[in-house]
Amino acid sequence: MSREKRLITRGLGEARPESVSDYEKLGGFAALKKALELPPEEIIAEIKKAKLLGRGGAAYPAGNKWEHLLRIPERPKYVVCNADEGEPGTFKDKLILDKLPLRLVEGMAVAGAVFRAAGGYIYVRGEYRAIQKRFQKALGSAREANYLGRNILGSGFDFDIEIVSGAGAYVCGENSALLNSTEGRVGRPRIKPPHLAEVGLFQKPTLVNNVETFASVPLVLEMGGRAYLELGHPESGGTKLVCLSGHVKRPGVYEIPLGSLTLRELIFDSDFGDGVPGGGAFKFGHLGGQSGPIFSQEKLDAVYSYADLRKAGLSVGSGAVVVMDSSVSVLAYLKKVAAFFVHESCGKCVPCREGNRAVLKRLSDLEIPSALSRSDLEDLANIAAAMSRASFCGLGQSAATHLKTAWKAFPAEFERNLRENAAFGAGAR
Amino acid sequence: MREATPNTEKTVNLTIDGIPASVPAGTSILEAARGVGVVIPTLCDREDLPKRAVCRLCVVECDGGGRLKAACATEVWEGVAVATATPELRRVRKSIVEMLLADHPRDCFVCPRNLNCELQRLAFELGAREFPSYGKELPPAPAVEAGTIARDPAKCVKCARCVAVCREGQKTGALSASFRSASFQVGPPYGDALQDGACVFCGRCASVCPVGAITASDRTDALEAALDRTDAVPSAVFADEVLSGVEASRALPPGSLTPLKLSTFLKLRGFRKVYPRALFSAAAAIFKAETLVKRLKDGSALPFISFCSESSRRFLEIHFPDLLFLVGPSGDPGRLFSLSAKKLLPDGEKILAASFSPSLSKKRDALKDEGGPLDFALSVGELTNLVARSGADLGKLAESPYDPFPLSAPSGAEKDPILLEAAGAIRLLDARGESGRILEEGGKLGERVPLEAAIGGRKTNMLLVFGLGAAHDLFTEFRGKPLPWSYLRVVNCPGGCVEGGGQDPTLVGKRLARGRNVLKTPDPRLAIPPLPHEAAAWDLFRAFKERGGVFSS
Repeated sequence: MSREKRLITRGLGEARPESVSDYEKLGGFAALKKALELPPEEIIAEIKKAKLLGRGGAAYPAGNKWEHLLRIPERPKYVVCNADEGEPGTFKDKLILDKLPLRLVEGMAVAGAVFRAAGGYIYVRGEYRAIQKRFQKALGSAREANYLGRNILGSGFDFDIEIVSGAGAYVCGENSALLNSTEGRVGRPRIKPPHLAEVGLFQKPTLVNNVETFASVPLVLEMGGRAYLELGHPESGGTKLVCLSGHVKRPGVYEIPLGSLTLRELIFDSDFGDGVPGGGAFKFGHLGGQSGPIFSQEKLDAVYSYADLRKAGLSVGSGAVVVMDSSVSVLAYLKKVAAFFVHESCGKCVPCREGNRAVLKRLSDLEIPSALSRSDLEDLANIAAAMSRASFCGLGQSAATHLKTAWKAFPAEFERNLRENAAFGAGAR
Repeated sequence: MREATPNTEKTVNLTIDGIPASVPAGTSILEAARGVGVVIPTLCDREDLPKRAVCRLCVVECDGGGRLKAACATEVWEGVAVATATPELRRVRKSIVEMLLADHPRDCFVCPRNLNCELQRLAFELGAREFPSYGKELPPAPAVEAGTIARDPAKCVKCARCVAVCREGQKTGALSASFRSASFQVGPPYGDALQDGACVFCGRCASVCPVGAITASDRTDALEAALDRTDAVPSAVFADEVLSGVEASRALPPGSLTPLKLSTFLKLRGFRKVYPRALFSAAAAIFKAETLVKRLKDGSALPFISFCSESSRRFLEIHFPDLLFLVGPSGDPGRLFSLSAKKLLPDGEKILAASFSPSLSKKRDALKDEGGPLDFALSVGELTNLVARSGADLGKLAESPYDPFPLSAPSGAEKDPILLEAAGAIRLLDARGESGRILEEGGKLGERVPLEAAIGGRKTNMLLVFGLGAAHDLFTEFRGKPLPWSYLRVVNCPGGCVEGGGQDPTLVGKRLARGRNVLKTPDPRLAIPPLPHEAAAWDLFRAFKERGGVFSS
C-alpha cells in the first residue's frame, strides 16, 4: 500500500478542476463557510495548533504570520498568493493551480474572510501561461457559485481574486519583490523592516503565502488543527508535496505526511522514486530547488521533515528533491547552479551581484589543474560566507548554499586540482 | 529624506561594541554608532539620501548572533547589544570590498577622484591588499561626456546613490537603475543620452557618486591653454561659495581663504583682471527686477519663476509644462560680466571671460551658448586643479583688491527707486539661495524661505525654494491653484549653491559645508537692505542698455 497521503491532492484526476460541484463533493468550501461564521481568532488558533509551516521555502509558521496581520489595525488589508514557482525542480504549485485550483481559491478566500481583506491577488509565474487561463476559469466558476465576489454566501463580505502574471524573474518569488512587481514597479526586493504584514501591497498590511500553504488551510479547518498536526511531524503538521525529479525512475509530485519517510525511501522505494534508472548509482541529491542544500549518500537516512532535515544540515525548502547519478560531475552541476544565480540575481546588492559571478568563475577554475591556490579557495569560502551572511534578500543569502553543502559533502572535488596538489601529483594530500 | 524621521519623544538605550548609547527612537544603528565614535564602513549610505542598504558593508551583529543586519537601514531597539567588528564581520567586509575591486579599473593615478575616492579609502581601511583574480571578462562600457557631466560606467560600484538623488531627492527622474545581476546598471533610461532625457544638469549625481563614475566635466587643460595666450586678456569673477571647496581640497582651515587671497592667486596664475562678482550679481538683479516690475504692473504671469540656471527649464518642461510661461531670467552674474566686459570695456574683443561658481548647470548654460558670451564657466574642480598644478600655498598669499570695472560712459540717468527696491529684494533672496540652507528653530533645515517685500508701496510675497525636489513638492501642492508669490526663486541644489553640483563632492551634504554657511531663519518682515553696490550696479545697468545690450538670461 502506498504511503502517500492524499490530502491536498484528494480528488486529483477525478474532480474536474474548475467544477465547483465536483469540489463540493470532496467537501470543498466547508472551510470558507466556517471562516465566514467564526471569529478570526478561532480560525487562526486552528492554524497555529496545526503547526502549518509556510510551504514556499522559508517555513515560517503560517499561524504566526496570520496572527501578526490580524493584530494590525490599519486597513485596507490585502491577501496575496505567491504562485511564482521558479525554483528549478519544483512543480507542485503548478499541480495545484492546474488540477486543484478551487482548493487554493478557498484557502485564499478563507484568509480574505479572516482579515476582511479588500482584495486578493495571485502572482503567477509568467511561464505558466496556459495554467493562468485555466485558473481564470476556476475563479469564474467560484464567482458564479458566489464563493467569490459580492456578498459571499449572504455574509455581507465582498472578496475577489485577481491574477497578476510574472514575467520570468526568479527574484519575484521573493515576497517583497513580488509585491513591487504586482504594483508595476521593478521586481527588486524591499528593505525590511517594515514587515510586509505592516507595509505590504500598495503600502498596506498584507498577507503573502505560498500556493501550497493556502491550499492546506481548508484542510486544517476541515480536520481541525490537532488532527492535522498529528498527521505530520510534532513540529510541523500535515502533508508536504514533494517534487521528485532527476535520475529517478518515477519522477513526479508525491504528497507525504511530514516526518513519515527518509530521503532513501523517497528516492528508492518503488511507490516513490523507485531508484536510479539505467543501473546507475546515486551520487547526490539537491533539496528545495537551486537555493537549497546538496547531500551525498551519507545523509540518505535523514527523515523528511523540517526539523529532521535541519538537524542533518539540510532543508525542505520548496519541496524539490533532485537526484543525480554517478555520471554527473559535482563541479559541472554546481556550475549550472551558479550560472542560474548569475542570471537571476537582481543586481542591487554587492554580495549577490558580484559574489555569484565570482563563484561561477572559481568553479570553472577548479576544473583546470593548477589554476587555483589554497588561498584562492579560502577566498571562495569567504565569498560564499559573505553572500550567505550579508546579502540583501533571501535570494543572495541562499545562493551559496549549493556550494557550501556540496563542498562539505565532496571535499575532494574541490581539492583535486589545487596548485600544490597538481605539483606533487593529484591526491598527494 | 531622513532629517525628520527620528522620533525625539522616546529615547532608546543600547550598547555598541560595549559602549552605552542613548539615542532617539528611530535612529539607525549606523547613526547611533557614529554618535559614540564607532564608524561603521559604508559605501552606499549618505545621511542626505534615502536608505537603500545595497552595499552591505555596514552589516552588524545584534545580540550575539542571528542574521546580520544592515546598520544603515536598521533602527535601534531598547537594550540591543550591537557588535560592529567581530572577526566574521571584518572578513565579510573585506570580501565585499574585494568583490568590488575585482572588476574596478586600476587607473587610480589618472582618475579624477584619485585621493578623493570612497572605494579607494574603504579598500585601504578594510585591509584589501591585492586585486582578486576572479574579475569578469566583460569589456568595460565606454565613458561618455554629456554637457557638463562625465560618466565612466566601468568605474560604477552600482550603489545607486545617483539614482536615489535624481529620483527621490531632486525628483527629476533622469537616471534609473536597469537590468539585473552583472548587467545591473545606472544611467538614463533606455540607454538614451543624458541631454535627451529629463536631466537638468544640476550635478547632484556627481556630488554623491563615491567614485569616479560620475564627475563634473573638467576643462582645466583648456583653461590653462587660454591663460598662456599672450593676445588675450583673461578676466575672471568668482562666487564666494567656491572658497570652502578650495579650502577642503588644500587642507586649509575653514574660513582662512578670503576672497581677496583667491583674487591674488588668480592674478598670479595669469588672469589679468579679477572683478567683484557682487557688482554683476547686483546689476543682474536690476535686470530681473525689470521683469518683475513689469509683470506686477500687468498683473500677469505671476509669480516670476527664476531658476538658478537656464538649464533648469527642462524640469518644468518635463514635470510641470503648464508653468513654463512663468519662467523668467535666471540672472547669472557670470554671463552678465562677460557680456558687459565685451561690450563696455575698451579692449572688449580681447577679453576671455571666466566665471567660477559651484553651479554645474550654469556651466551647462555656457556650453549651450556655443561660443557665446562666457568663454569659461568653471566649477570648483577646475579651480582646485589650477591651485594644485600651480603649487601655490594659498594660506601664505597676501590679499589684493578687486579690479574696478571701468565704465567708458557712466550714465547720468536718474535712478528708478521702484526698480531698485525690487532688485534689492530679489538680490537678498538670491543671495540666501547661494550661501546655503537655512537653519530653522529646532535645527531643521528649511526648504522654503519666504520674504515679504514692499515694491512701490505695495506689499508682495516672495519665496526661495531649496532643491528641485522641494520645488516638485511645492508645484504639486499648488497644482491647479494660483502660486501666491510674485517672485519664486528655485535653486537646484537642496544645500544651496554652496553645495552645488560643481562643488567639491566631499563637501556636499556634509555638516562641514553647512557649518560654515548655515544661516538663521530670516524674519520675513525684516527690512530689506539696499542693493549692494547700488550706484555702480545702476551705472552698469544703464550703460549696458544704452549700448544696446540685451541680458535676458
